[in-house]
Amino acid sequence: MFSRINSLRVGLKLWSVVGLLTAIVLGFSGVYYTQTSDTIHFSQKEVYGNDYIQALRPVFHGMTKHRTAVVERLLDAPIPGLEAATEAEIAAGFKAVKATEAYINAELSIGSRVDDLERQWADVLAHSATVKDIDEAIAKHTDVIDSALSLVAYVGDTSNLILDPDLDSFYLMDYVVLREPAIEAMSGLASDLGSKITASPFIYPDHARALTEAKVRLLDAYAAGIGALETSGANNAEVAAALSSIVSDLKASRATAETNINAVLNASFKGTTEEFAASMLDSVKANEAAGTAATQWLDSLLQARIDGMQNAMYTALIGVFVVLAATIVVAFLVLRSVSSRMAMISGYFAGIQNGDLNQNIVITAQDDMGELMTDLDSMQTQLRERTEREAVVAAENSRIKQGLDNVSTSVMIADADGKIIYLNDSASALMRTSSDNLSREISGFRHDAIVGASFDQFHANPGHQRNMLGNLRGTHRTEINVGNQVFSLIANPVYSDDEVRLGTVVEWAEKTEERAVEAEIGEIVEKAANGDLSARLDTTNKSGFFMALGSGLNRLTESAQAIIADTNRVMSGMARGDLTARIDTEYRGEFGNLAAAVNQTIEQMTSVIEQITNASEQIRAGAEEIAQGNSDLSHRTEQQASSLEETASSMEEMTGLVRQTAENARNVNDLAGGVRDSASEGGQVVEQAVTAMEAINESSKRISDIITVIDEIAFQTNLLALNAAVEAARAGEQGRGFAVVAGEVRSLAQRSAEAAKEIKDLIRDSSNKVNDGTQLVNRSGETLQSLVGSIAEVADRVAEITRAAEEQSSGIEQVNTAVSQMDEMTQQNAALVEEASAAGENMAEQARSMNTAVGFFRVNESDTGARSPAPARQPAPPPRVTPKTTSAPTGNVVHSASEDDEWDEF
Amino acid sequence: MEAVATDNTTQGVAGALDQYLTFMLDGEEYGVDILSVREIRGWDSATPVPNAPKHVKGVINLRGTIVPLIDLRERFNLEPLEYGPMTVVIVLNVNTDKGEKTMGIVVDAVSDVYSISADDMRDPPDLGDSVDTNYIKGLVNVQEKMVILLEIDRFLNADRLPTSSDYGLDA
Repeated sequence: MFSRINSLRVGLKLWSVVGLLTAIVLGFSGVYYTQTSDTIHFSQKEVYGNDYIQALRPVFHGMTKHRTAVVERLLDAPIPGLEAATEAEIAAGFKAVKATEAYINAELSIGSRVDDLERQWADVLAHSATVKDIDEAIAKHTDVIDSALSLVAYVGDTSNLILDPDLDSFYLMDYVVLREPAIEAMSGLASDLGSKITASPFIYPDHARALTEAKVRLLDAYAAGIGALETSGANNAEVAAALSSIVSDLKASRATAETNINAVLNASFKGTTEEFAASMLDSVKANEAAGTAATQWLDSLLQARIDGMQNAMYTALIGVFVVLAATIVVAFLVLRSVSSRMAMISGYFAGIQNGDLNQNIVITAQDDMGELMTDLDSMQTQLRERTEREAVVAAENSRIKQGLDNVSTSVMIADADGKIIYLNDSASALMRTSSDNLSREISGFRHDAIVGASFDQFHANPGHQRNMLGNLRGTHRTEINVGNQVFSLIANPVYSDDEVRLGTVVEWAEKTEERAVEAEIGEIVEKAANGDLSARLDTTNKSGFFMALGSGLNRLTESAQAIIADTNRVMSGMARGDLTARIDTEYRGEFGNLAAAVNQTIEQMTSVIEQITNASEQIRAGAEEIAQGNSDLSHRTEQQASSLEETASSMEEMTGLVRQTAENARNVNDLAGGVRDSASEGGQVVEQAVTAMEAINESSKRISDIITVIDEIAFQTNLLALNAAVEAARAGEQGRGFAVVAGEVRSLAQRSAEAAKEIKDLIRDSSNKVNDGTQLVNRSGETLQSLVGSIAEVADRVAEITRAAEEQSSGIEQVNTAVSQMDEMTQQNAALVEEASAAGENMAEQARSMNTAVGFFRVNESDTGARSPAPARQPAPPPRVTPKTTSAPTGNVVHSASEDDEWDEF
Repeated sequence: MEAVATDNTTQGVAGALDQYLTFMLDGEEYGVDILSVREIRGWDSATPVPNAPKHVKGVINLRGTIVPLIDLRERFNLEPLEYGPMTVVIVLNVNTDKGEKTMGIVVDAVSDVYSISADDMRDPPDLGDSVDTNYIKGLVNVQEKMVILLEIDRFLNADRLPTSSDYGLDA
């Protein structure tokens, strides 16, 4: 569907859009027309309703008046001609209603209601001709009037009047449909009821109540009607101006009606019954006039509204059609312009396709099509310019290729697949000169068919070659051996401006001769490194740089060989003990330094050996003296050992004394413990005494309680005796003996009370004494407690003494141990002294043998090579020294000190 | 003189002697006619009577008879004493205008029974109009001590169970 629309021509597409829009506008216009027609019809129905009510008014007016006429007739106060006039009016009214109904009935669907009303009225008419009872006549009439009024209200409902949307017309409708009929009916009823009262000699209360009720409803109806008209006027100035006089008339007639009815109720109405009815009929005329005016105004307002709505609807529809026509004309013009320019553009494109880039493109308007043509113009210009630029670039590339052809370096270029696409002149020459060798090594090689062949043929492993060149990122240098020739290759990748790999450029150079010389030099240097300096380079077949290099290398090996030979000679002599050889040849540079260092080494060694010879002689003399000193030391050590033995025996005795002291102290400690236990027992005894005292106190309290009981018994006895005395007194003379007995009992009771009181005092006294005793016992307990503390302190002190004695004892034992250790050390010292003596002898012997060893070196030309005379001469001094030390060890102290300061008294 | 006479009278056996039961109140000795005494008993708790004067301590049930108790110390406007096992109640028969009534008085202690002749009795002192002394029957000296004899009928007549609140004026 969508693709089918897309494939339509542009003109057809635009026409279909315009067609759719037109259809939408027409559809909405139709809807608008229907709705507005409905609204107009709504108002039209109101007009019909108003007409109908207008026709009905004479009917219910007539009915009301007929009721009055009948009532007056029955009250014997007939109003002449009224009854007949009203009957005629009603008949005419029904005829008018039916005439109206002919064109309205269908719209308002009133049906048979009017016929029903007419039938009901015919009944009332027949009834009123014969009726005698006033109330019955009134009731019948009121029924038919109510039916007429409800018909009016029904017409108001069914004709949309009651739904009127504007305030002015609504309130006019309100008056016409509801208020005017109500005022008419109520005014008539009030008139009839009032007539009944005026006709009777006095006012019956139920009549008065009915009239009062009718009055109130009438006044309400007036107020509502006046209110409706005033509200309508307030919303429409024209209506207000037209109705103002009618409203004031209404107010006046309401006042008149109220005054008349009040007068009747007060029995102050002066006129006759007929006059009252006439005045009421008069007053209601203003209402009828108001009804007519309101109906006319309502009609004119509704007509004005219908006209206004019709005008608005036609104006809107005409406007819509004009705009629609204009749209179609504009769409036609636009389409024609678009299709003509499309044809022009496709002509230009055909020209460009045929290579004509110099077309004159005419731009007629700056719309979308104009922009498209401007873009087309610039595209044609750019195409032309690019063609010219490409021609210039081609010329430049040709120049560079000519230059590369004539470069002396051999250059070969391969494409991205390794296929050789170019070979400059130098490279072609190189390939040609080497073609014999190359064609031997590479099968199928032809120096005149290199371009087009693959680069891989120059490598033993074509896959590796291809891979390496493919991944080439920077410059790659290598050498290849082909047969007896060596080639140096420098390969570089070629990239386009946008970093795309285009191929590889390779520079070739032949390196066969350079590699042969390098191998020869390498052999010479290898030999020199292994110590063979005899090899020389053959310079006869060399020239230029390679000849200068060969003779220089020969000179270097010769001079190195000479210095090593000299060094070898001198060092060999030294190994044999000959320190007289020197390097006398003059050498320069590092070789000179080496020769000087060798000579200096031999000088230094010579002087060291001479110093060693002197020192060993001195050591030998010292060793002799040490041996003598050691023998002195041995003697003194023996003396020290005997003193130490005496010290040890004294310490043994002291240890025994201290141990006894410790034992005594321990005994004292035990005694102090016994005393402390005794004191503690005393404390316990005191506590028992305190407990006993408390028990005594408790017993005293109980005795006191018992005494209190006795006291109470004495009191009760006394009371009993008194009661007995009272009884005796009552008994008079007969009770006299009894009174005496009672008196005796009383005195006994008093005495026992006295005794109890004394015992109480005694008990209190003993209790106090017991308290004193308790305090004393407590004090002695505290004293004992402090005694216990003191004894504990004494015990502690004695224990400290014991501990001190024990510590002393162990201290003395430690001293003892130390003395025995000292003894042992002295023994060891003596042994050590003997060892030292032997060592001194040994040392002297060693010094002699060292002298002999140093004599091995020949330090000057005059020496024969062995210095045996020196050790032979040296043993002479020790015999001189040893006699002094051994023969007089103690007596010659001063002498030896003066002669050898470094040996002090030990 | 009178003391000696009284002594004789009390020691005497014959003659028109009246017997009086005496009791102690704040160190003073008072006597009542022994024939009006019905019983002597120790203090026991009494049921308080609401809205009674302060000196009416309540009522007790004495073998079916409801007996009001009056604290004589408070009745005489003396300092009240705490009640203990030795506090004594003397139950008296009182002749009133409404017939015989039984009442109890709370005293410090019962003292003795004396026989006193009417001649030894002295009239109560005239203290003027300000003090009403007609509840004192008389005064008598016994063993160098002054004993006040109370006219119990007159004195306790007003101390019936409270029926009006005006009793305090009488005192």
